[in-house]
Amino acid sequence: MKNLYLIGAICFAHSAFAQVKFSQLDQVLPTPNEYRTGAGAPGHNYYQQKADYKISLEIDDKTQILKGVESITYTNNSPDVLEYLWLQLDQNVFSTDSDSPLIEVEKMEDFRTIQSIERKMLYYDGGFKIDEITSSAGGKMSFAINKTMLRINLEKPLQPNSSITFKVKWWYNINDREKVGGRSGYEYFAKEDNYIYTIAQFFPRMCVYNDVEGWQNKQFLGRGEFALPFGDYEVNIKVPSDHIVGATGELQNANNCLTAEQRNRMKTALTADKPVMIVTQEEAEKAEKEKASSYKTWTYKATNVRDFAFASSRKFIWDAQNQAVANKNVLCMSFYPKEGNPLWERYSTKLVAHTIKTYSKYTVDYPYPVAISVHSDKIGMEYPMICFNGGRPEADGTYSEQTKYGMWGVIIHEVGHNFFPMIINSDERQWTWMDEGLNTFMQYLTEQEWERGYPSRRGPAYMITDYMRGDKNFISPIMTNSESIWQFGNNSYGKPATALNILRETIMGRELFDYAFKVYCERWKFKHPTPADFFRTMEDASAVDLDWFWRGWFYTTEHVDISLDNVRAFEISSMNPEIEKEIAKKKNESKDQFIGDTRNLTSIKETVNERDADIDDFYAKRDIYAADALDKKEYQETLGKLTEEQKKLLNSGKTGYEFTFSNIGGLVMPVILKVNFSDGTDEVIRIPAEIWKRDQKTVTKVFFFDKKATSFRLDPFLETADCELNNNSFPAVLQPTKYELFKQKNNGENPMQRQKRVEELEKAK
Amino acid sequence: MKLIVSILALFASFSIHAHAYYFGFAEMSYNQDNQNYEVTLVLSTHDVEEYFQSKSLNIKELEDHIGDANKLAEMSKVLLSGFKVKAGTQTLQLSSIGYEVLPNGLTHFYFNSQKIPSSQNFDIEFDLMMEFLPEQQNKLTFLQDERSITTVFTQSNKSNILTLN
Repeated sequence: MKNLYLIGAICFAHSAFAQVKFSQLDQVLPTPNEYRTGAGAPGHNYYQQKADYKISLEIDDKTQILKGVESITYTNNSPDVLEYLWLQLDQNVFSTDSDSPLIEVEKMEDFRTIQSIERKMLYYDGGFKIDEITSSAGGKMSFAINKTMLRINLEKPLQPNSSITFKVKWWYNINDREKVGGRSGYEYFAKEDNYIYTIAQFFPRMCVYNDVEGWQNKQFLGRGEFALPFGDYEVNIKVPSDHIVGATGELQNANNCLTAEQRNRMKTALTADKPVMIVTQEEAEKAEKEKASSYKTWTYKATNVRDFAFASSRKFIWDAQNQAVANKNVLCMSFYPKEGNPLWERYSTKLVAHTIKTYSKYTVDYPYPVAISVHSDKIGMEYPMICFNGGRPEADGTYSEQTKYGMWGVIIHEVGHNFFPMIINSDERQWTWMDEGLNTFMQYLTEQEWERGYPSRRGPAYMITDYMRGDKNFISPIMTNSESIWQFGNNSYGKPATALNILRETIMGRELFDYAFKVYCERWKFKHPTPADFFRTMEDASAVDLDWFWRGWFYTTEHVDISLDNVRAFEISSMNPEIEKEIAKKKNESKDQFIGDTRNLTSIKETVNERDADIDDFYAKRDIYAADALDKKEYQETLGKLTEEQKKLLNSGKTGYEFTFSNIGGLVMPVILKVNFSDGTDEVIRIPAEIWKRDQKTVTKVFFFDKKATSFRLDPFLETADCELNNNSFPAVLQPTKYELFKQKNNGENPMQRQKRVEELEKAK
Repeated sequence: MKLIVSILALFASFSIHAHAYYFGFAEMSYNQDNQNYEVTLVLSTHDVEEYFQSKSLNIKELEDHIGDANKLAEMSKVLLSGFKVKAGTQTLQLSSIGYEVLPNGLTHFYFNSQKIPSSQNFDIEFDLMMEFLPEQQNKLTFLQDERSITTVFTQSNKSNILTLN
């Protein structure tokens, strides 16, 4: 009895361990409450703060100083009393006391060249210079700066459902992105002494205050991006009068800023389905040569946005076209210098329009009036309604295929950020993946609709396997704060995008996934979702239990390696002794023979029992393969107990196969099996991941087929991100290495030799 | 006194925002017929172009130099200074047979070694591009029959011993 209990306990423990991968995430996710429900939706008391800005700023084109004054009206919609307000000073990442350079690991080997030393010793007086902060009554307000965060100490705490207005006056030296880096700044064209300003994070901005963590005031260290509240903006941008400006929002004073001809062209663009030039290359090249000393102010208004950015330059070529989304028209525009052509004039605005249209199909209707792509070199960064993108041809106008796809990809990606996080406004500082991963997934779908076979770098399951395999000490779970991640790009962009693709193509299917994803986007547009809201919504809207998936893909660093270890075949017995004994007889006749027996057949001319008939008795004479009367009677009795369906099954000739699968990598996934038959046909069987509930290491499964199977292959469509394909086939099939594939393509001839033959052929012409 | 700011690390962090690759991958196997090792290095085209430029190789776009034996030799020298393998007691002398620039932003470089008996033990140094990209992480996967073994190389872990069982 003790032994029985022991066996029972072992079985229970084993089964309990196997259940960990499928246990519900409730213990890990925050408890649902009045602000965020268990369904993943905003709760009945969900709140968010609002920050409205009136900003006047000026760019000094001679000194590259930006100065401004802003009035912020902050509304406290929370039920909490706020004793202080936090603002973010992102420019202070370049301050002399910034933590960011101090936390980078360096060695002397990093400084082997004079250029690297020069870069380290570079002097740049970065960071905000805050002149003053005053109340609406004009009195000075007390504040404290902690590196990239500023706290305003309120004289009177801000009560729930009330607002406060205050002013901030500041200036800073705009950074040269070539020398200093940065997500914004200027690009300098030394030959002509001209600048392209791509300006963002340029003003002290309110932090988010919410039910999840109070004030989101984690320091800006450089990698984890931004968390910002929604609000309305009115911005006056004073720049040299020959500059062209593109910005978040709608231009309010086109009559002052644009010529009559430009306004006319814009009128045409508003309804055009392909790009219309507002400023041509010829006009931009003329403007480049003149350096206006007068200034002009461009006024923009934007409603319900989380941020504001703009670009300004006399070098800009400008085109625009319309893109209809639902019942609205969206003006899609591009601003770029001549150095971006021919690529930018040909593709940028079309890419913007395509991205807005495609993302709207899968997420929410794009709600803003404009969407802009600005070209500056070596950049890729996103803001509401405007983004800055790299991808530059050679000086002679030629470009490589890689440059073209790179430019396409970055425009789609950055314009796509309008949706994640500008509209579905997640906390980038904490969870990079919630915007970058979702956006990269959408980028992949959009790329595939731009061009068939588009060479997307991220998205399909098989592309993530190199990253996921190997020592887990150097991989981080997706659910890791932005500043602590190994392999940032693969972790926050590639792996979440791949996970969503797998959900869409394999776990949930496109219909269920697309519906649930849209529900998430609609629920959380213009709000602040958290990972739990996303996980819960996807399940709630689809009835697919995904906790095992989130747990494995987002909370661990396990990889997928499921092997097909063994296949055993067996046939259904007809139970008819006349048939079964005949089969047994044939099997016996075709079995392997001992060599001695084979030789004896010829070397022994006659045995004793062949000569003397008295030797063979009943046992020697009986035919064990003949069905006797008793066999036939018992068969009929058995048949009599079977239903018609069971009798049909007996005579079906089906063959059963027992498959043994092992989970080597740890990540549980569906088992997708392709069976190839002897007649050239095949069948694909999809076993849900829940099969691993029974045993997380090894499972077996039996299937019956009408036809004889010849080979089997796991994950034949590369859906599960299986990192080891060489254990997926039975009989085993070795996958060619990358080297072997290259040799096959090049027929033993290296590219140089082939190129020689091409050149000889052309010479001969 | 001039205030001095260390910018290098910031520059590396802030270069193209959506780019964020910093990942190198090597695939290695033994060819029984030729009795040598075959290696493929998979690198971000953007990263490796910038790396070559930092090493004063006059290369702006890799696609422009396909078929150029001299340029291939220069590139190989730079690449192999960051990828060294000892099989048993013998150092692999790797020669390049070419490279492919893929439209998805990756470049494959192909190498083979001299004729050498197969070994079960390898001493590998794979710190390619780490002095240029502080966040660079490299992985090597050795393929043997139906198995593969992967080992990871980081800034603090530039060399590894790999033993095949």
